[in-house]
Amino acid sequence: MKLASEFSVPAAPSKVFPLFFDPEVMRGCIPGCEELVRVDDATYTGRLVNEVAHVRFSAGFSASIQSISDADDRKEVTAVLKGEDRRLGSSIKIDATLSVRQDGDEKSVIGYRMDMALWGKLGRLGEPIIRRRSREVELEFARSLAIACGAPVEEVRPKEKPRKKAVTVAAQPAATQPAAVPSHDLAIATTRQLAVVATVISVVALLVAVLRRGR
Amino acid sequence: MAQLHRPGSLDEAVELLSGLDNAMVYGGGTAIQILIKQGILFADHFVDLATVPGLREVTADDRGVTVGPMVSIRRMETAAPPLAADAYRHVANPRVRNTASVGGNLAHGDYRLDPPTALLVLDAVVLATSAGGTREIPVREFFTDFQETALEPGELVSGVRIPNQDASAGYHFEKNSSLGENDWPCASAAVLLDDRTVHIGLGAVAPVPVYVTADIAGLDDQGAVDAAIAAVEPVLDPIPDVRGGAEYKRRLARVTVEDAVRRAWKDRDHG
Amino acid sequence: MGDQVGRSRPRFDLPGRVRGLVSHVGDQPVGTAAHVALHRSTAPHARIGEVHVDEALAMPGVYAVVTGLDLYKQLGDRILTGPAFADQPGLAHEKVRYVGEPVAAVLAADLKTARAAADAVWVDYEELPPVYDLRDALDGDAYVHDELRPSSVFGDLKHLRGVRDTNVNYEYNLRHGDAAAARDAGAATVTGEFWAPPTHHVPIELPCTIAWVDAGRLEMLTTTQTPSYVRQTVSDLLDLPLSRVRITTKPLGGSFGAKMYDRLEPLAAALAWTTGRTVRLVASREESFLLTTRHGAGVTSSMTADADGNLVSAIADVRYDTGAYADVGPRITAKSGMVASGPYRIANASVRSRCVYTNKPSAGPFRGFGVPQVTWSHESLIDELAHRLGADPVEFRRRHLLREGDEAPMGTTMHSADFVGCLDAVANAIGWDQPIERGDGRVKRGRGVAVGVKAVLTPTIANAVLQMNQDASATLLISTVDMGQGSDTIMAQIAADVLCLDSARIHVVRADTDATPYDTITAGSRSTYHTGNAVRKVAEAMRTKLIGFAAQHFGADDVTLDADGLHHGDAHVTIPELIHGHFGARGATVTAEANYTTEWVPYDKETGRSEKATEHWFAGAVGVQLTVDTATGRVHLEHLAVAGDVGKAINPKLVEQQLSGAAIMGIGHALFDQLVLDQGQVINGTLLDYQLPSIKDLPDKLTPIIVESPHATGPFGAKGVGETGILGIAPAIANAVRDALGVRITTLPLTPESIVAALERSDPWTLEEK
Repeated sequence: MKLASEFSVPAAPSKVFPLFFDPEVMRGCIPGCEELVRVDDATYTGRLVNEVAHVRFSAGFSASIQSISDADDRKEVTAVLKGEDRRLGSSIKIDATLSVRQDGDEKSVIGYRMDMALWGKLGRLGEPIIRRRSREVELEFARSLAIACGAPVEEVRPKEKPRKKAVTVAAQPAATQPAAVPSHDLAIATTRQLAVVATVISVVALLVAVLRRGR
Repeated sequence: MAQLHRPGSLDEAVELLSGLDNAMVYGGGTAIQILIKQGILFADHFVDLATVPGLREVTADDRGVTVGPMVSIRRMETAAPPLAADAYRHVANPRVRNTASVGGNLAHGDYRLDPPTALLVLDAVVLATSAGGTREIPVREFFTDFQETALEPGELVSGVRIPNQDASAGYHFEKNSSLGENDWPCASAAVLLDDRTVHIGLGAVAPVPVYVTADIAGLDDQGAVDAAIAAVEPVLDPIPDVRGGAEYKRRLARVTVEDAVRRAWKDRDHG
Repeated sequence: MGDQVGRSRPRFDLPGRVRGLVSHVGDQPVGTAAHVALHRSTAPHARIGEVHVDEALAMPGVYAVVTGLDLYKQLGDRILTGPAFADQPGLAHEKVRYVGEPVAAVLAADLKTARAAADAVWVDYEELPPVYDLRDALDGDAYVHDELRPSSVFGDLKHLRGVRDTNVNYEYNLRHGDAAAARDAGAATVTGEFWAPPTHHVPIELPCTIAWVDAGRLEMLTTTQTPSYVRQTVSDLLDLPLSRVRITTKPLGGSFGAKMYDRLEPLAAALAWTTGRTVRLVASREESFLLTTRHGAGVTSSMTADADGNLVSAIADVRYDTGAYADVGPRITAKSGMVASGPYRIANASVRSRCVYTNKPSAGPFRGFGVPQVTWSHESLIDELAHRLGADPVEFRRRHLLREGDEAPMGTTMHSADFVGCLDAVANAIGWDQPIERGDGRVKRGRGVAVGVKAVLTPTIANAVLQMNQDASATLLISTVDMGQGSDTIMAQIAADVLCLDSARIHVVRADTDATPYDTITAGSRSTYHTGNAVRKVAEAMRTKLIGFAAQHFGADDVTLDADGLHHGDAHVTIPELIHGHFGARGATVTAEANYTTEWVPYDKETGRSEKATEHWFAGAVGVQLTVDTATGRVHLEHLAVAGDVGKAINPKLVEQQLSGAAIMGIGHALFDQLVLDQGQVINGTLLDYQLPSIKDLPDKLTPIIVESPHATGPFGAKGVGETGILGIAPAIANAVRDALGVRITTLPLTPESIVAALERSDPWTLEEK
């Protein structure tokens, strides 16, 4: 299944990029990941924790950076992400690309493309749900990022209502593994990798949560 | 392994619902059983309403009809106002309609279900009961997001009140599938049309069932159709899947609305 | 001769089938059996690392967890089975090749525990590049199997053993004349790119197998169309003599090819044998979608006429997607490839037909055995060619259809295949020559026809044993499996007719390899002809025996048999009197046996032609009148007529039901029935999403038509009919849509969305014109 979209944030890339590479900001923007361990420069493993309709779930994942393109006008990262939910007998693999480009003076466009394979029990269920949920995550992420860019809250309220229930689990640093949490000291490329990883993983987190709940 | 609870009263049911961890209300069971069989439902407790007395009542007065949550879909084919009766008549097949419940159908919150389209048009009210008491939720505010309803944790649907239908208005329920005739709808529309306004409830063409109206005062039938399609256009937000792409679903939504409005128009004039 | 053949006797099991009084395999009590659940792969193509079973084993009620490696350690390469290629393990060993492939089996006290424990197994995978579709398979460099492993069953596959670096496990080529040159020289050519998607059979009864060890023998009760095949497979798998394997069946609740060859049986046998337990395997509805499918097939093809309208060339490149395991795909590839040019007199024909591995659930036999996929191509092409030449599609076909005695492009002569009679019958039924009200608004009306040809599975073997009971009732032992087609009823009619009995007095014993004799398979519409002939012969042998007894009784040779018994002049003896007298005992039995075997001439290696590729032909035609709502794209079938040449209808009512049933299944394939896969994952494999025709999808009028062109060696002239009706349904409907709208669609199914898209294309023609 291919998913692709892009959204604007009301700030120039010069303003967006630093935020984008700032783990603290990203944590505020991205629903999802609770635990993230950097295995090496290109490989991460972690765990997603979420709760929907009182069902708490936890799914392991790994992410591997495939390439980084660092041109001035367009920056792009590709990664392969794999998640697994053993209890559901399902696995997810995503080939993901995240890009940021300039769009006028005070605007940037963030685009993502994902080729997602969902294998096992979940795979036979949820194409419409996945498409719908990925849109929700995008809106939520876009809104949060826009606010982080300094836009007034009212103006960036998404068309759809925010979900009533607590799917926007703020990413908390795993207290037990502080060393695993990336900090400002890390190379900028590493932080950027984390951003793409976190974005896509958060989509996966929601999918798993929602699919587990069923339709 | 989920535990089944069979409360003897509504009070007991809502107590269980609020006290148990990860509990789910079990109504007719037609949706829940499918999810269980597929191994993707992980509720720890089911609170079965089958043994609760008084939940299968249908009470009519001069303003409308109040229906208990465990009334079967099948019974609504005759108990509900005509537009809603038509929508209930189109649900799944007789075996499902004999088992599925009015309350479960609402709480399921699926964007493709037939009855919500008519209930939106008729401005029905959902009764939601929890340990804290009962509140009324207009059905037009009930479907909040994709498979999300206004029900709070610990609440269950304890009834629905459907106002009488304007006898002079024309009405029609139209349902189109895109694959097998008996499949889920790809687009559905419930339409109620008087001299001034057309009320439209849409199913399957957005993440939630949607209600829109259009002013048709002074218009002819083609004018009413155009007004109706213009009114639904902004709310069309179909989810592409094996039943069709977004463009096809938009097209089918427009055709469904057009057909429903034309038939309601005829019904009003000749009904 | 009696009066039993040709009567529409109600099938003997009708009340039981309707009221649920017929017991099926899944109804069989199993006492303290181990219930089996399977842990399934979540990777399309991967090397299996460690299989973690400890957590599952620790669960209360779990008896054992068995992996592919466990089985391999005990049985070695014998765990690899399959009808054409020995490539399929009961549990994946070393590699998984599709999402949903069984990796470990949990044996537990009850099914719920077994399933919970199966969910607790997890597996380390090392991913391999997946082969998702025909293009990946044919153009890429990832291979589903490291090397080809043809089974020992078919001698003509021997040369493929050990071939590496390919996903093509079999290729059939037909060369008749110079089709390319004839195409280039021709006056009009139509070319198409056709696709028929994978589908699933969805029989109502789910597959179920119970296996146990009794006194050193492996015994099994299973839902199979192929008990004799399963017996051989289990014998090979466990290295046991055939006498120590017993396969029994019960009436099946539908099958359509879903329950044959290697489904649950090899695994059940291996688990029962290696653990010593009685094991019960049942597929859930969702799992049954993974057991076997109909081949998705791409066909690139052309048909050419000369200036006089003669067909001069047909060319087809056919690719069958057989999924992870070959199953019977190679046979399908050849049997369908040889008729890919259709039932027409064509001077030059060229066909390349390939069977291709991909990382998807395995495809195997399905009503029609690959032929509907090529019929989709040739019946669309000839229709379009007729339009192109300004000819009437019925008349154009009629002119070119093969007649009695004609040699088909693949070299075999036509007999008892009345294509013209079938076509005329359906055209007449739908009023082809009557004016049509086209419709001038949103709804358009059209008519279409299609003709189908299929060869019966050849060579095959049938045996029958008949016991005449002293009371003039009889017990017939055959291994044909009644799965709703009514075989038990018509076999009794055949035997009864020969013996001048009432067919209700003949009991057909359900297949039990300890008692009923070898029969190749109950499939491919072969039973009426092959087993029917064995039954006819055994009844004749019994008649000869009875007449012999009577000759002794009368002391004279001149004896006749009729419904009253045996006669010599005015002297008369009833069968009960005769047998009682002969043996001096009530309840005595007389036994006779018979065999019927057909032969073929293998395809020529160079040309793919054979003077006798098949024992006989199935000929069918479909005519349809329909409307299309151009706003929604929805097709409404007003009248569908389906005709089949059955040689002779043993039971006309059952023949009509087979034609109608096949037509209804074909309507699904034409309009919406398909298995949708995304990156190897079946995404509509539940009955919530999988589309089957319901009563609401039936035509307003459905007319089954029996055509009888007797076969010289058929029992009473009869041939089978299980598949005839399905062959032409999809192209007939597409041809009617073409007639109604002027658009040609080449991808199945014809969903409303695809019809709307075709209407909106600026260039509605997808068939190229020369």
